[in-house]
Amino acid sequence: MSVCFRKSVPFCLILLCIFQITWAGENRDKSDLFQSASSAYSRGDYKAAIEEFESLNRTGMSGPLLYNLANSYAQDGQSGRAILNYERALRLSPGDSDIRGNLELVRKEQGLFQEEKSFGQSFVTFLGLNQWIALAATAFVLFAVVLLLPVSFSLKRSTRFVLAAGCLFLTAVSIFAVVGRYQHWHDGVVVENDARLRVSPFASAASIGTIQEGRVLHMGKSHGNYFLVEDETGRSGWLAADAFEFIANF
Amino acid sequence: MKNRQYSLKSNVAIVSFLLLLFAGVQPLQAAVEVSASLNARNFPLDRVAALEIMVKGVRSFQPQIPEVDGLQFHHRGQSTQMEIVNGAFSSSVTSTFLVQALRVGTFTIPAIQIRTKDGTAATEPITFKVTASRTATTPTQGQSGASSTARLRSGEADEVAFLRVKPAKEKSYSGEVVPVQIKVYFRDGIKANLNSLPLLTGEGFVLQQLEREPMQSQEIINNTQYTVLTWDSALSGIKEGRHKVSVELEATLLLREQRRSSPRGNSMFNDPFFGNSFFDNFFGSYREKEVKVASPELDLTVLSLPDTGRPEDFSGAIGDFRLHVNADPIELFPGDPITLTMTVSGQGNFNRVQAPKLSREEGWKTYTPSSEFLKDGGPGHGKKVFEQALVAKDRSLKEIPAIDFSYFDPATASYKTLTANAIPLRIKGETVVQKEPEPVKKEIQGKEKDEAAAVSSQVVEPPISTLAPLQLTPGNMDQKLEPLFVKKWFQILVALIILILAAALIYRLRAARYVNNPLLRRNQAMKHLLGLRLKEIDKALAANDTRGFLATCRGAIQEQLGLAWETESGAITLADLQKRLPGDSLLLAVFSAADESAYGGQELNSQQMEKFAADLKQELEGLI
Repeated sequence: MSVCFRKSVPFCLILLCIFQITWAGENRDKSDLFQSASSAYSRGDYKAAIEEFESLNRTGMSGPLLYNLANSYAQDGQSGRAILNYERALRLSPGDSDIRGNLELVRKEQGLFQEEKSFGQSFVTFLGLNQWIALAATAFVLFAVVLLLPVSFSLKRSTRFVLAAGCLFLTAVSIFAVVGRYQHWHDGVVVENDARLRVSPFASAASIGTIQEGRVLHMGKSHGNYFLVEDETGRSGWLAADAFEFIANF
Repeated sequence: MKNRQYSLKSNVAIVSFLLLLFAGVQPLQAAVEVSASLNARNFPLDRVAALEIMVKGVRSFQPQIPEVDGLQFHHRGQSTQMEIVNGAFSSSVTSTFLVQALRVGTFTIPAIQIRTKDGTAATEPITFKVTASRTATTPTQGQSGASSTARLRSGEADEVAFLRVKPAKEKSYSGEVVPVQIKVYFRDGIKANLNSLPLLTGEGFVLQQLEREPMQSQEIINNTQYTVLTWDSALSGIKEGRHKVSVELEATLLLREQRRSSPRGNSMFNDPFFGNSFFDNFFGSYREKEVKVASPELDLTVLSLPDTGRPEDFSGAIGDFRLHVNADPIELFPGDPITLTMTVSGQGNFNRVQAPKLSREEGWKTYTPSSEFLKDGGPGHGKKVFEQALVAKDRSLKEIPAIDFSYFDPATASYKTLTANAIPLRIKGETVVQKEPEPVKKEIQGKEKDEAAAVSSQVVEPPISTLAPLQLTPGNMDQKLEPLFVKKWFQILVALIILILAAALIYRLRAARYVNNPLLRRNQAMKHLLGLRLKEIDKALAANDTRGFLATCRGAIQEQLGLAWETESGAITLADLQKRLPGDSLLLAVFSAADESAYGGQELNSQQMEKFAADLKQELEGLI
């Protein structure tokens, strides 16, 4: 038994080393590619930067990567894809002020003004979906713990009640925000210039008008290659699937 | 039988309750009030008037109508009204009489005496005037059947219904809004239903959409009272030249059928169409008559707009307008949008009013304006508000350029251009002229290949220089765009947390159950102690320690019975057991043997000990 164990230890160590070396190599490759893409951006070769960032994005994604990709698209004049990637980056790093700032700037440049958010909307967008989920879960656990604490625990009855009520309220508010956030989880962004909204889901259907590149769309039902969409200004119609990209489920 | 009795009892109870209710309500009756009214104080000799005498606070009465020279009263019935409001009961009785005059003149119906249980009350005297008979006119056509449609063009002569159209002017420019007033007159007393809104007939003009609810008023024309429906609207010429137009309206007149068995002779009640007497109105059935009321033809002229002096930005607006422009914000950072609010107010064809334009658009990025029309006053009066977003492309801009709006003024027959002055602007931050980046490829082409690496490190001014810079590290690249709740680890964590919480909840509930139930608590303690003692007994049995075995048995019996009897366990003796346990209880034998061993040194063999242990276990477990 002990002989067998002794023999297997070096084997495992070798395997571990191989794995470590491979992993480090992959990471170095990704890091090199990231730096190369950043250099291309710095020298103004935005198309090369986009290509390299996109190839990295296919192997795995992160907030900084999507942000850099969005910046490259923005500088290349592809505002729709820039906004799409800023929105994706915000999903991963909701608190990043650079992402928010650049997104606003690109919107402004393109005349994609958004209506003033109501208090409820501002509140819901204050945190990302996953942050709200984590908050809701934590608040609920705290609520249960406060209620289930042994009676002998040195906590006044009124204090226990206030704490439990506070946690329950926080849970309810977080769930409300989660629902609000999740409703827009499957939104899309127009990536085609002068995409046409149509009255019916057919290429031959009459056009309602064009929809600006970079507009965020709320998705409705689909038919064939068309989706019933509604943009931020409340305009709705059928849009071809190749004119937009989903922010999340791609 | 029982059922029948029960039914009878319940019926009696209901009737008694109603009687009580009625009796309770009776004292709340209002005091007697008497009033009399005549529906017309001035009517021709061939008509009748209705006299209504209403007495409140009684259930019936017999009015004593006085004799009046030249008048005849025909009793036409009595109606009673009862109501309970907030528990207060009131009743009123109304008697109706038709008053027929036999000659022209002024008459007075004196006070009418009403006798009730509470005494006598009297109405106020009523004075009225009877004029000479009018000659009834008939419509031009359409009397043959109820379904036929009569056309009443300029039918002012027939005194039934007619329509008047008054445009503000007869000559107007193409597209100009000309206020027009449409009035439909129905002779007072005629009941009519409108089947359509007034419609314009003829070419060259369009009529603005009319309000569904016209203004209603009364007017007297040629000593005849009319109900007048008035629409204020506007005509707009669309085709140059002279045009004859008129306005029509479809209506259904509700006419009373003539009574066949009239007791009053033909002269007064045989009015065939519109001249029905009130008597017929009161008792005759309705007959519908569809009519089309049309105005006299109007001769209107549409002029063409002059070509001379037509501004380039003229969009077809005709009328009298004013322009007001506001911009917000006027202090801003580069790239911030400015909302330009342009208000065109006044009177005219607002549908042709388009957004005023910047006199110079260089350096500005403009977006499609939104517009809203707000009506303010009569037809064509109001204001149109345009909101347009602007972004200054050039940071050196100091003002929003002047804004022009051109229109045609029909009063002076000339074009006019309104100009809003330039609005000063302050763009904060440095004034940096944006530079388009030179194509990178061009830059590289112009250099040697070995210099390419050096070029790559050069930083080029990006097209959007205000973008925040790139992130330096890629960060954790294993992230996914998916909500937490679809991740496996999160689901497992949540499941674990729920399990722990459920376990804690069950534990808390069990603990609460024991805290509130002394019997459960006692059983728990007994079970616990018995477990301990049985282990000790097994040990003594294994060691063949008779004394220790019996002492443990004795202690176990005392503990269990002490808890069961809620007494001090050490104080329990054999006498207590003999007193409280049945005579054949196995515990008695064990306890007795233990006593004898303790005080007499009795020894047991292993078989006896095993039997005692089994008996003890069985008996003590039976206590829990």
